[in-house]
Amino acid sequence: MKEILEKLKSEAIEKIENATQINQLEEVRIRMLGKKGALTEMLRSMGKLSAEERPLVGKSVNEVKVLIEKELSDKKQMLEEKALMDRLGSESIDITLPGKKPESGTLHPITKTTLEIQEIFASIGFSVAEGPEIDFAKYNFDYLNTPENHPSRGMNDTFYISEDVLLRTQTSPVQIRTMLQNKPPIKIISPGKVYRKDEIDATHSPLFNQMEGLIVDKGITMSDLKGSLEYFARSLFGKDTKTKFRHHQFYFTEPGAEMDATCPKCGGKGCRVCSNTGWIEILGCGMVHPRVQSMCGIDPEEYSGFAFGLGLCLWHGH
Amino acid sequence: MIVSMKWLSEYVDITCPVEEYAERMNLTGNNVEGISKNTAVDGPVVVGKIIRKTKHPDADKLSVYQVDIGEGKTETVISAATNIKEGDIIPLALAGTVLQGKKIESTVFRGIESKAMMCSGEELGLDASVLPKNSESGIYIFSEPLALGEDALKHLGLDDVVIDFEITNNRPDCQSMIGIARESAAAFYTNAFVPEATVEESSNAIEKYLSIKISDPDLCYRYVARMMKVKKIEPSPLWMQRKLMAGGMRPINNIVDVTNYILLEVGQPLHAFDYKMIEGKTIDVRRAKEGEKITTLDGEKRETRENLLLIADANKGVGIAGIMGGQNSEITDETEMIVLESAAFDATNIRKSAFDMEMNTDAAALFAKGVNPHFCDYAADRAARLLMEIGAAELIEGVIDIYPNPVGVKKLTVDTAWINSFLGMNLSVEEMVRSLKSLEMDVVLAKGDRLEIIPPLYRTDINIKEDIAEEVVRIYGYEKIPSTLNSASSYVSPKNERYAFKTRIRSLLASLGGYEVLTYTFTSYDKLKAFEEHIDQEDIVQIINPLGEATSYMRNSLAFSLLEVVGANIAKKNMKGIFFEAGNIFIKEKDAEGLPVQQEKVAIATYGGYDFYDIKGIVESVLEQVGIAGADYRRADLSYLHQGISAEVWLGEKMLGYIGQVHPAIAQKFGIAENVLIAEMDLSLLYACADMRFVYQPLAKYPSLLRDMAVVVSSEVLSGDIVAAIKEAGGPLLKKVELFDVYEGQQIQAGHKSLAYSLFFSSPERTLNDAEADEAFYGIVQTLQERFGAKLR
Repeated sequence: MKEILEKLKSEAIEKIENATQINQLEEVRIRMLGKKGALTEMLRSMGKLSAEERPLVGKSVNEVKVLIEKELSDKKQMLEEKALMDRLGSESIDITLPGKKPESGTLHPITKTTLEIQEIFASIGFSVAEGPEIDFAKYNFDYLNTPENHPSRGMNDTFYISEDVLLRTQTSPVQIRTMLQNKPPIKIISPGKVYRKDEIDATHSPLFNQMEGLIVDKGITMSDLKGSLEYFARSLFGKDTKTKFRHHQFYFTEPGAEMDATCPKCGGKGCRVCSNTGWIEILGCGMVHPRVQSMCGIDPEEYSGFAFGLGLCLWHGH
Repeated sequence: MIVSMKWLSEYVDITCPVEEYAERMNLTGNNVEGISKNTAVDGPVVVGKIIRKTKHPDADKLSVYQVDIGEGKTETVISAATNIKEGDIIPLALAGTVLQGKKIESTVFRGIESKAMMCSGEELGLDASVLPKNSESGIYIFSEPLALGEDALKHLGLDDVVIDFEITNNRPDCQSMIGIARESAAAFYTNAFVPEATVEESSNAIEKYLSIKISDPDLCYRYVARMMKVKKIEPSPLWMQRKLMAGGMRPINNIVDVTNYILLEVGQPLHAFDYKMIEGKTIDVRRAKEGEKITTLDGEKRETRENLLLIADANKGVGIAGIMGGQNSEITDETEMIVLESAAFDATNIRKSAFDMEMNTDAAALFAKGVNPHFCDYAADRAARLLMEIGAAELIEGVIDIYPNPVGVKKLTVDTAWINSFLGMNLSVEEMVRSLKSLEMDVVLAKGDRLEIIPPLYRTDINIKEDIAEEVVRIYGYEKIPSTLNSASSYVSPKNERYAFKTRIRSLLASLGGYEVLTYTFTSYDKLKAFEEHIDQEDIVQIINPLGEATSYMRNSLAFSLLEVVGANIAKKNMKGIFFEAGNIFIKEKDAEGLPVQQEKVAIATYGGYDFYDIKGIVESVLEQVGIAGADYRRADLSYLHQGISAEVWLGEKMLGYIGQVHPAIAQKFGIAENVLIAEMDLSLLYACADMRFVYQPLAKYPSLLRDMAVVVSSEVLSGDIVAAIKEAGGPLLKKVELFDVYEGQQIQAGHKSLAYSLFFSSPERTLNDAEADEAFYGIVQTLQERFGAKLR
């Protein structure tokens, strides 16, 4: 009995060791441990043994069974790992072939620039305000303190729908509407299309996109104007950007200014983009004219504010 | 305003380099639009005199000139010019000089050597429009004798630097050499020298010749007249011509040149009348009478308009005030006495009159900016003085000055502490006073650190305390203002959700393959009609003063703009694409405020291999992403769409927009020969219907059972109707219906199609058994049989 067991054991171990396929292991398992397997048979025939022999033989057979099961399991794991390695080894693709891109488009550069600027101003508390493109002349001119005889009111400069309705020449009417409808504090930017009666050429268009901004609150100063717009320029063009404020006159501001920034293309060294000056005119700005505030029902003795406006062209999208 | 630096140096001492000067002027608000040397010449150009002119023996069109260049030297020059003769003084470029990039070299023309070149004004860098008439084409001829051999460029003012200043509308006082000199002096804390204008006289002889009345003082604020006896009408001296040319004006004769000189120097437009033509020894400044006519200097006979201001004598108009003189009183060679007018007219009326009369003259442009009455007498005196100085005329003593309501002084009191708090600065009172005094303001320090300020009379732009703060800081220097980030306001404005929504829609469309475009919102009536044949002119918004017919109407649809984009792309052989735009459309109907209705839309166009279901898929994706569920698609009936391949998108009672193939005949009109599909949705409606909340939904507790079903129905039956019927018949256990196949073809009876759906059944309470699912399934089949004659396949 013992000899038979030893023989079965060494036969099984040899077969397991020599196995190269998982199905060969299955054969061993069936032959030894299956319903009609050799070891199963041995256990089944133990009934014929004496009461003394039975536990001893049973124990031996079980030991061999456990051993074979472990060998089978180890070998199986080994073969599976090897099979995986072989498969991965054979599956090599040309990783330089182009990928399968999902179809995707893009936002218009002006939209991208608008969104970029909007995020910068959102970070210092400004939110977007919008208004109609066709608006009343009063919001586009009168409330902005534009003199009666100012040429910009003329048919040569502005498109009219009727005597008192026009295509807005700036997004400032949105500022006026906001001031008329809200009490300070006000912090808005107003992007949008504006219209001026310019023939189309390399640098002019009867329609272009503009971004204006307005803050009105207690204690807003000219140094706030400077600091905020410098923050904007550095955020958009990079932290090393320098700015220059020049005095300029606008009817809706007092004092007024224009802001130049070091050319984002050459960093201020001078290039074709900045006509070799190193500077690019970015925006017009100023402290809100007290008359504009009064007309909008905001007491200039209590509140002050600043406004700015820039045309959006492609160079903003550096 | 073009400023010659040489001329400017007569009024103010600028010691720094011109670039530095320009930068400082820029910072103080005198915007420099350009700095340029005014000559393109490198090398000697000398004054020469033609002493002999002979025909070239071997060339018909050429002449040979002997030119005396002083010190006994002559040059032989060959030229084809026809405007010169012996005795003329001309500029001669010597060999080696580079003119407009071309080097003058000794050349032999058919046997005769030419070593130098006589130059035209243009060759030397003068604009043709400023050249005296005799020098306009051909060689420049000096109008007076000069020392031969001297630098000709110097005599032409071509050794100068000119600066082009942008003058803002609030500072008409800067529209002159004196004005710029004042600003320059302030910017450099120095003084400007204003030229002498006093006329020595001891009588009021003028009153024997002339009386003046302003009948309409609302349109004429001041009228100053002087009279002169003409000595000789001839070219003005070269120094004057040089300055006029530098300022962009053509020298004409001594009288006209003096008026133009004053215009440049003082900023006051003058007009000279021939005294002999003024009837009744009187001038009346009055509105034109109804039906009155006047022939102007340009020879045009003109009908007057309402509120047109005339300069009239006893019987007729002799000029249109501030716009153009009358032909009847024009200065001619026979003129013996002149009346010099120096007046200030109402700017608004001049602007309106110039527009009504279609007379956009230089004088009108200046008066429309606002000419300060303060300078009228000074300008008239200065002109009289100059006319005498250059020997053009003799003075008839006396001046007539009608000034009904003289501009008075203004006094402002401003708190210095307020200036500092407004600017966010900490300036000393002395700094403020220094800035203001440099601008010729009268400043007195009053109690409580207040400033009492009287601005000069020409500073009509200074009226309120903010103006004073501005003047202080622009001279002190904007660069010295500190930078703070809204130190006083930490307010954060609430987010504009609608704008964020619009941004989201745009980003979604880009991620779904769309390229965003921004197009013009105006177009032509023809284009609108090409898109929508039965368009009613009453419904669209028209621009009353468009650039041209092509841009005279506001668009009433975005789809229309996108078709133009597609057409343009196809023309450039870009044969496939998805474009989208978000923007306004305009309808004439009035909104609550009384403005034309302006609706924000988003439109998509696809072409080059995309079908209805592709663009519908894009729309469905967008709707899904913004939480709009349950849209249904109904057949559309729009003239510009293919009837069978177009749908309206409805959500309950609201029509969100439409999707469809553009009618081939219309696509053709936009240069599109293939299938192009468009969708247009209303952004406001989408925003109103969107549900962007995040909702947590746990994984289903119990598995669902799947039943696939293929039914054959007649081709006209719409899948949407079948799905609706399935949902209705499926009961509460039916969780989802998905179409997975549509088939028409061999195995299916003609005129029929097979539609295959996956039906998912589940219950939130328990695991369903097959029998329950089957029961629901057969209920559905039966309903479809009854309603659509559907047969299970």
